[in-house]
Amino acid sequence: MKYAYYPGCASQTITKEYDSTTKKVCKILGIELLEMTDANCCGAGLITDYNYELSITLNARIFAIAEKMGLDIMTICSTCLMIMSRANKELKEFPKLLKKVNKTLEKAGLHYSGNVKVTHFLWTLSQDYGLDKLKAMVKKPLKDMKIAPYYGCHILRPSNALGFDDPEKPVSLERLIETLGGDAMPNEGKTRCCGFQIVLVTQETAVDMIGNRLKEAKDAGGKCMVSPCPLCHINLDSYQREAEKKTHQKFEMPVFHLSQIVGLALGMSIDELELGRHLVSPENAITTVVGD
Amino acid sequence: MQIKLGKENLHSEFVKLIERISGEELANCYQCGNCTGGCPVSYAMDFGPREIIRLLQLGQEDVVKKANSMWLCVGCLQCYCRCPKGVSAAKILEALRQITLRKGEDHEAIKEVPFPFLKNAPQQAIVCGFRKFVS
Ligand code: SF4
Ligand code: SF4
Repeated sequence: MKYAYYPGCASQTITKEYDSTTKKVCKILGIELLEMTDANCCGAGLITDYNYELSITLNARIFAIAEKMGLDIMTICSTCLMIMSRANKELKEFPKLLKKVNKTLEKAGLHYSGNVKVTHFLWTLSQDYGLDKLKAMVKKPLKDMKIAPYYGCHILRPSNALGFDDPEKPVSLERLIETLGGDAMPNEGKTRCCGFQIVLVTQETAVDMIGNRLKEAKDAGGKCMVSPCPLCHINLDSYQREAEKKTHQKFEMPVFHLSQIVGLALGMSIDELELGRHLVSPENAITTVVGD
Repeated sequence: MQIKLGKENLHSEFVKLIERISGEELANCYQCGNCTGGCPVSYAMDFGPREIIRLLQLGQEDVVKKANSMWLCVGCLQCYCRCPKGVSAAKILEALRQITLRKGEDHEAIKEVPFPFLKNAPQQAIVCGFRKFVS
């Protein structure tokens, strides 16, 4: 099993540990990740506003590089996943657009046929790798670990471009947690937004939203959360203290990256999982004997 | 709130522009309110997504432009996901943002954001805060 690996910008800067632990976990599982050294930013939708065609072309460039490598793309960021999936859908649905974009790509010696698939690490584990196979690899089941799954938005919606899980009642994270031997603590906030987009517009509302997500996870009995998106992680982890101040309550809700809970069950140590990089320490939430 | 209704607002250029940019037909919305019900920020908006669509159906350009709704939308697409008519309020709010941003206007002036905040905010959040296209 082999992928062209696209970590996205956040995991190359703020959430570096998500990138490095994904690589370590995939190595143990035998999933080969080939770096796309020459890939560009997906645009995160931020330039679509000014130049739609450029944003589609930038994404097509990423797909063309993967095509050259003869591989499908795997990312660990929900926003990259959503942006790339939407661009890919448009390129498939509008042959004229694909043709136009290819004219530009030609200048760089690239071509995109429209056949590269974009997937997320969560989908890879759930579908391509398979939960049965993953279960067989578990060395230290996450016994008694009460984990609240948190999907956020862009791994689910818009479902016409993504379509892996139900946009309102997703289950893939719960299934994964159970496969790893943990207790999944689903709650109504699991598909609601963390407020990342409006931190700058109104920090107050964003902090409210973060507080709500943490509270929903806690009320459902969660002792920690797991997120497949680095941006949600940034918000829930780094603004947790602000949210505690604003709502006058203690959450103490560590947020794991997807790769970290898998790694934990595979027997990786706290150091290997780089848990020390989180602001809210996840160590107390770990009930299992971790690897040394 | 008092609003003036006339042919000129109902078929205004502004409303047509919104429909063209968003690709949504405003008349498709039958005001069930599912979008606002699912919207995680509607409580902080001057007008929730359903109201914004209603105001646009009635051609109320000025009211809609002054409302904070378009800037508070986080692009979570809960509204679109729950709409029984397949209308994307997110795209309509996006169109509103585009019209403003393309004029070189913005809801945030970077010079006015306190430096300690900028220093501590995640860089991705800063970029998102200034230019966003998420619907
Ligand atoms: S959910 Fe759809 S039909 Fe209902 S009010 Fe919102 S946009 Fe209109
Ligand atoms: S996309 Fe915007 S309007 Fe729609 S539910 Fe989310 S925040 Fe509300």
